[in-house]
Formats: sequence, structure tokens, C-alpha cells
Amino acid sequence: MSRWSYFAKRLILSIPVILFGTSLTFIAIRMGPIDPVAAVYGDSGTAADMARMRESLGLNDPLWQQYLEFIWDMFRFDLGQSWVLQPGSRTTDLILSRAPRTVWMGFWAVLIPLFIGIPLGFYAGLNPNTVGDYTASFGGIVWRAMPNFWLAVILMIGLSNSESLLFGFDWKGFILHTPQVIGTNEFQSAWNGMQAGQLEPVQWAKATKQILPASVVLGSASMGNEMRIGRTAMLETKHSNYVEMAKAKGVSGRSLVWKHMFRNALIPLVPVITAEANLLLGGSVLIESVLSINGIGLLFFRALTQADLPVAGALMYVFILLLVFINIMQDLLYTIIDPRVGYENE
Amino acid sequence: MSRAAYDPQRGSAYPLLSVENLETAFFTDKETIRAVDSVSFDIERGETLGIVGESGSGKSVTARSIMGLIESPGLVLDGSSIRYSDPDTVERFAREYPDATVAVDPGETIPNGEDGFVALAESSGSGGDVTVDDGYVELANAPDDAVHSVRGGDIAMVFQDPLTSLNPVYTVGNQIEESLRLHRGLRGKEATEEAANLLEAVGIPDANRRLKEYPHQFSGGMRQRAVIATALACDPNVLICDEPTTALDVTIQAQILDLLDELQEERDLGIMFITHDMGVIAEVADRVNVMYAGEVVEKAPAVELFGNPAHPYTRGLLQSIPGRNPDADRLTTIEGDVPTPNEPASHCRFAPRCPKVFDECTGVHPEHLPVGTGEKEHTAACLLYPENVSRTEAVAEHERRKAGLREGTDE
Repeated sequence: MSRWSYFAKRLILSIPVILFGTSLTFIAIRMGPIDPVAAVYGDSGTAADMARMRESLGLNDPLWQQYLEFIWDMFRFDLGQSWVLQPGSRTTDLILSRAPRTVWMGFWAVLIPLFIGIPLGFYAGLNPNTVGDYTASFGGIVWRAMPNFWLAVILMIGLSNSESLLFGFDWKGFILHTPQVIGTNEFQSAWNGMQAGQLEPVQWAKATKQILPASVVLGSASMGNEMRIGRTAMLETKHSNYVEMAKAKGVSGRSLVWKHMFRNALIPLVPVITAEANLLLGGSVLIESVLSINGIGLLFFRALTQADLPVAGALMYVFILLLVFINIMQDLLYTIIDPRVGYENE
Repeated sequence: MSRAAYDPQRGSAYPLLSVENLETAFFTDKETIRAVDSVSFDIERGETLGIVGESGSGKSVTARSIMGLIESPGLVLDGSSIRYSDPDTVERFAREYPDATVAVDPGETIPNGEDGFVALAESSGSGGDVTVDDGYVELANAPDDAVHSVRGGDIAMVFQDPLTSLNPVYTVGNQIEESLRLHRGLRGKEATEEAANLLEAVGIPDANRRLKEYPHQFSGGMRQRAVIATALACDPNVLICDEPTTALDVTIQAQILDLLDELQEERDLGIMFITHDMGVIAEVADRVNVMYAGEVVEKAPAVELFGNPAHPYTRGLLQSIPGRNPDADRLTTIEGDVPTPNEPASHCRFAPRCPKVFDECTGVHPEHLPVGTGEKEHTAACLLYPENVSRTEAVAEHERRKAGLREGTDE
């Protein structure tokens, strides 16, 4: 079937993309201005020590040999050891120990725009030029216009001092008691509990409450975008000829919206949703630094600023894999939703 | 214009579909556009009524008004009347809305001010077991739910652009089966079989495979056939075709026209055929209404219209057909554009472009009057007619008609 051969083609094409990205990463970290040995020793190393270390790390090998080794290691998921942040510990362990926190935040950061932004946009598109539409559209634009690092700080301040700023509304005691407003310590204990085989709903609820502000910040721009694109897509679909024909056929209300309009309106939203999943990667670096959440983003930030080249390179590689995976998911979604995909190749 | 001609074959005192004094206006911030202004016509079973006119003359809005597809800021104004008189449908309505029935004499319409939209001319029993032999449903006054069941089921529509009329993300079979499910309650295998039959009926070979294909896998002509199949799935009595061949090339156009002709013969359909193409009208229509700026300006049987056009606008249209004027050096055109009808008509809207304009044209609104010679059913809304009386008398007659319009139509 041509739709699936189109998908298979996209899958195969992703291999050169990964190779290219990994090569660029190598160029950026090995040929850049950073000297990893100087970073390890700081000011204290002697010239002889540094030369010995350079030799033992293989930095004196010809560049092409280093390149091939790097690619081969990455390909085998041998991500090497940290040099600076935690010398001697495996990069894989560093990443795995932090990943759950970032995934937890990203999970909510995807869900919030998906289940608030898109329904709001569709609602606005179905009821154009009503009070509801104006409220949703205006809110979407304002929401989208707030930079997330700024929003992060404002939310942090607002929620920590909610009693005095929000007329006595106490966020820390709201529904569940969470003394730390934004963070992952509740999540960590819920996660540890789950690994020990216990599912603690209250602990998970606390973890959710604690991560929501961060996720809202991370997903804020996406939410506004998805709302606006959703509105436009719904409006366009609503006035299309096939919807008019469906009406003339006697298709009524609910079926018209859910069968004939919804699926068509989703098509332009797919790239927006996946493009924003990409944004989350960059966003998490920023948000985790601002809100000091000890996740992958913060690890990446520190690896870069402290010149821990193996960790930075490995994380770049992981990010590349994630990006390519998200794009493949986008193609898969397209293939499922829109039967016209891949038709030209037939 | 309730002709109320008794049709002995059908045994009904009403035409199958009768539109009277239809007025549809669009209310925008800037102005009110009277897109359709007191349009009246009838369609009988097995007959094709052609509606012809330039872009912007209100043809499509007329069709959409009948289908109940006019949406805000558009509105079908009070006083408009769209009567549909299939006995089965009237019976279904009478049972569903027993409070909305009105007993009338055969041929008569529901009196002004009377509530209710189901007119029963010949019926027996009452309430849930009423049986109806004759009567009509007033679609212009019916609630939306009621119009819904007529839309698609009894009156179906074929749209102008086959390339975009089918939903791109569902198979053709799915879309035909949807109609079958909605109006005939068919599901599953039964629906698939019926859908395949319909596709074959509209001349698509290898129907079973085609049902599983998506619209983009069909060519333009095929898609229009599929659209027609979808419209027929509801087994309608009236088919409204809104420029169904405009987007197709000429050979495909001829095939589609032949197909419509065959289907009409087979199913005894009443067809309302909208087009701006005089050539197509000549081929398909039994009777023709010429529309200009929201109004019908001339009505005549097709042969009569082409042989003996009366209204200067119709003459202008016919003169602009290349094939009819082989000797002319240059093709004659009608100067100017169709005006936007944003005020009630108090004069002839064609006057600014009319080659035969005279003083009274800008002061008196022309009514439909027989042209005086030839066929009796040939009427024109032009102060030049009736032809057999002097111009002053003709103008006086038009003024009299306008003053007595209410009584004149509600006879």
C-alpha cells in the first residue's frame, strides 16, 4: 500500500539525518574552542599532567580516527564517561537518573496544550465572533506573548507568596500540602515508591501539583499556538464545500462536527503539535535551569558550561534521536489521518 | 404564483415543489443585500426547470434557501413560501407534528396568520395514524429538525465543484453509505451493496473496488458521478443541481448531462438545474427562469425562450453566445456589471444596462406579465410587455399589478 511504503521511506531516510546530526555534534564539540583537559584540571594542572591526560583520553589520535570512534560508540549506545561533572561515572547512568523528572514535566507540558489549547481553539472556530471566541482568542494571544523564562519567574513568585498576592488564596495548602511550590521531590518519592512496587495515588497527585506550574510554563507557547491554529483550521473546515455537502445530505450537528470537521481540522495541527514537542526539548533546558529542576535539561546546560564534552555530546545524540523519533511520529500520524499522504508517489 | 393546476396523473392539487415569493437577504454591517427577491416557480415530477443568470444573480442562494442551508448573516424572510408536496413526506410530518397540521381545500394554501406548516388537503384519521393523500409541507415555516429530514432525503443537491464536495479523508463508499444510513436506515453489508449499485447506476465501473477508494483517487468527472450517487442515495424526488458541470471539461460535461437525463427518466425526478451556460440550458431544461440581480425577469418554456426571447436581458444573453451569431464580426456583450441588490426594488434593476431603456423604467417596478404573443406561459418582468398594448397602457398595467400584488398572488 502506497501510504505505508511512504512511511517506510521516511523511516529509512531518517538514518542519514541521524548520521549528519551526529557528525555536526562531533565537529561542534571536538573542533570547537573548548579544551576539555583544561576544564578538568582548572588552574591546578601541570603541563606534564595535562599532556598525559590528553594522551590517555585519545585526544592526540588523528581526527578521523576520533570521529569514527565517536560515531561507532554512539551507534552502540556506548555513551562514555563524564569527565568534569561527576568524573568516572557513566554518562548513561547520569542521564537515566535524571530522565524521569524531565519526562514527567514534559508529559504534562504536552498534555496541557493538547487538552486545553486544541479544544479551546476548536470551540472558538465553531462559534466565531462570539464572546467565547473573543475571550479564547484574546487569552491565547496574551498567553502566547508571555516569554516562558519570565512566566516561570512570575509563577514562582506568585505561587510562593500566594497568601499575600492572591487575596489569601493559599496555593501551598490548596487540595494537597506541597511546601515546595515547584519541584520534583514529591515526584521522586512517588517514583521510588513505584519502583519498589507500590502505587501511591496521593503521592502522585502531589507530584502532579508540584510539576504543573513548570509544565504550564513549558507548554504555554504551544498552548497559544495550538489554540490559534485550531481555531483557523476549524473555521476553514466549517466553510468547506464538503461540509456544506454533508449538511445538504442531512448529516446533523454532532456527526457533522466530529466526523466531517474534526478529522480534517486535525491535519494542519499535526505539524504544529510535533513542532512544539521539539520546542519542549529546548524549553526544558531553559525551564529546568530557571526553576532548578534537576533533569536532563539542567544536566545538558551544566555539561555545556563546564565543558564536560562526553556528556554534552551524548545528550546531543539523545536529543537528535528524540527529534527524529518525533518527526517519524508526525509522519505516522499524517499517514493515519490523511489518506492523501504519499499519493503522488504512486 | 400558485397555479394550482390539477395534475390528473399525480392526482395532486399541488406542484411537487412550489416556491413562492422567496426572499433571502444577507444582513451585513454595511448594508442589507437582497440576494433573492420575490422569486416564484414550480417544479413538477419528471420535469427540469432551468435557472440561468450571470454570477451574482442569486441562483445559488435560491438553491440554498430551498435546502435550508442559509446561515447567519443570511435569512429567508417571512412571507417566503417553499411548499413540498410528496404525500408520503406530508404524512410523515403530519404524524410527527400533529399540532402543526392545518386542513385546507385542495389547491388552497395555508391562510396568512395561521400557525402550522403541514397542510392537509385530502386526509383521513388524525394524530399518529393520519393518512394523507394530498397536501404539502411549508418548509419555510418548518422548524430546523423538520427541514433536516427533508434535506437530503426528499430534496437532494449536487454541488458546483466536485473536486471539493467530497470529504477528502473518508472513502467514497463511506460517504455514500452515510446517506443510506441517514435516510434509508441501511447498515453494514446491505449498505455496501446498495452503494455499489448506486455507483454502477451513475456509470462508475468496478464499483466494489471504487467504494474503497478515496476521493483523490477519482478523476473530476468520476467525482461528480460519485456526488450524484451520494445525492441519489437518499432516493430524492427533487434534485437541485447547482452548476454541476461548470468545473468539468466539455466531453465530461456532456456525459454528466446525459446521466442526469437518464436518472430523471428512471426515477421521475424533478430537477432544478442552475447554470450560467445557455448551451447547457438549451440541452436539459423543459422550462427556463432567467434571473437578474435576485429577481426572475423572464419565464418561458425552453423552446419558446430560445426562439422568441422577450426581456432585453435574455436577448443580451443569447446574443453573447458565439455559436448563435456566426456572422457577427465581434461578439455582442452586455455592458456593465450586475448591480448589488441592496434596496427593495422600486424600478427595473436592469435599466442601467438596458439598450431599450425609457423614462418609466427608473420609476416603475416591472411585474411578471404575459408577453402577449406566443405561449401563454411565457412571462417577462419588463415594462415593454404585454406587447399587444400601447406602452402607456403596459406601464399602467404593471403599476396596477404592483399595487394589487398581495391579492394577485393569494388568489
